[in-house]
Amino acid sequence: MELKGYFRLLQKKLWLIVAIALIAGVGAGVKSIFFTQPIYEASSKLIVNQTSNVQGQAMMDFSMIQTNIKLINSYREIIKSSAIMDKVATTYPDLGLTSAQLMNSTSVSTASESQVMSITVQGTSYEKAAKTVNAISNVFQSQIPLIMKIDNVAILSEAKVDSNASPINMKTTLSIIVSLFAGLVLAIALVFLMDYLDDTFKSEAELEKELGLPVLTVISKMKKDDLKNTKNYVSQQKVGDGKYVAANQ
Amino acid sequence: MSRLTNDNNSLVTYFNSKSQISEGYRKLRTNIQFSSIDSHIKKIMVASAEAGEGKTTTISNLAVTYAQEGKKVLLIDADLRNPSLHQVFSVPNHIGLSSVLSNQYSVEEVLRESYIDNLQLFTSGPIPPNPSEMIGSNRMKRLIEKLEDQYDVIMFDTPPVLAVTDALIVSSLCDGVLLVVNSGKVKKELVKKTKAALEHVNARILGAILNNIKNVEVPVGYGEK
Repeated sequence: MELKGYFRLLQKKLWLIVAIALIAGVGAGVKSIFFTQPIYEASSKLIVNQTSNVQGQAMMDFSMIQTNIKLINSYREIIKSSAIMDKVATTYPDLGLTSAQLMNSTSVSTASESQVMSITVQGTSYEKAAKTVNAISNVFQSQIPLIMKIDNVAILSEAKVDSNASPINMKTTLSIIVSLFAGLVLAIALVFLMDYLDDTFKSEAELEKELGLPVLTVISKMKKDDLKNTKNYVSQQKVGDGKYVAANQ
Repeated sequence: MSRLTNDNNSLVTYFNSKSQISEGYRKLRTNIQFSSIDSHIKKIMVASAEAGEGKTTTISNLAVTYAQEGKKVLLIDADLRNPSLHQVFSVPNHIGLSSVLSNQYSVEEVLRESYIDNLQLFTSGPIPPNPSEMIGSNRMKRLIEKLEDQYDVIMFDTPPVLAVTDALIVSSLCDGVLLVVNSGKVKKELVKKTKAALEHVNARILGAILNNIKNVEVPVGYGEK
């Protein structure tokens, strides 16, 4: 089939393609507006920094910074361990989260070569996520000297509880556009598949080629309009014939 | 005159002879006439693979176009199992072909005038227990031979080819077979089988008719106004 044929096929099934794309788009819209629980994200930042105190003078050297950076890898694991999370769950019972839930909703990230690490917590309300992330930061800060025998963690910034954050998973417009597009692509694929699987004669050329018989005529589907009784009109003309004769005179 | 305002009517060539579909049937008539230069095609039948492909509508409209041309046409309903010609022309069917073949009535008694000039109808009659035997009988052969002299064209409506053997029997009585193909509905394989079955009994297939096609791009309105 040449390109024109493909276009004609798509044109013929345009209603189906539009319908599927619209259903996909509307479906995605409805899903994200009515059936998706918004998820909020709050994060706090911690800095890992230990200065060596030599003779009352604070010193900071390169190897110390490197050590701190290396330490962050351990801290990431420590935060997500039960040592911290159990403590968070017991000290802040008003959060109503078990240590397992805390571990699941928490992620720790760090920019490479930096002493700053950020703890991020996802929750169904921003306030709760912020409280949780602050609780984890506080507990971590207080626990790390006990675990590592070194007090080098300071809270850089806490999550603001009153912040008016928007949910991170509610990109309604985007999801509608994506679904619309995906629906469009699927529908076009479906139309081609249907045409490929359709084992019937649809055109004069096809019939002539595959059957080896001449096609004597092609009759289109009868519509109501075709069956309209115009008999009287026709016979009047036959009797009168005036219109055509008059034109010639 | 109530017949003329029949709602469920497929005789487009009669009721709306200016429509594009009527033009399609006239094209069919012309093509049949031109496909028979050496041998005169007098007895024509329609065949299709399956039921409901439009055999009766096709043959009825073709008969009307022949009649409109001034030919004396006889339209026979050779579908003794599921006849429908009498419905198209709104005529009674308590006697017909089966009554004649079973010797109960004479041809003259069962032939019906249609409301179209030059077009006579031979309905199927009551449904017999042995349609194939009736169609294939010598009596049927003699009947057609006799009728042949009285008409310019004789046309047959038949049952689907793949369902029963009747259509193949009728084809042996005919000069030409028109194969109706319902576009977008009937599987290619079945149409090919039908063609092979007809060729097997040496039927002369004049050509195919692509029926019920959607969205044909045909210039409409030529010659109007």
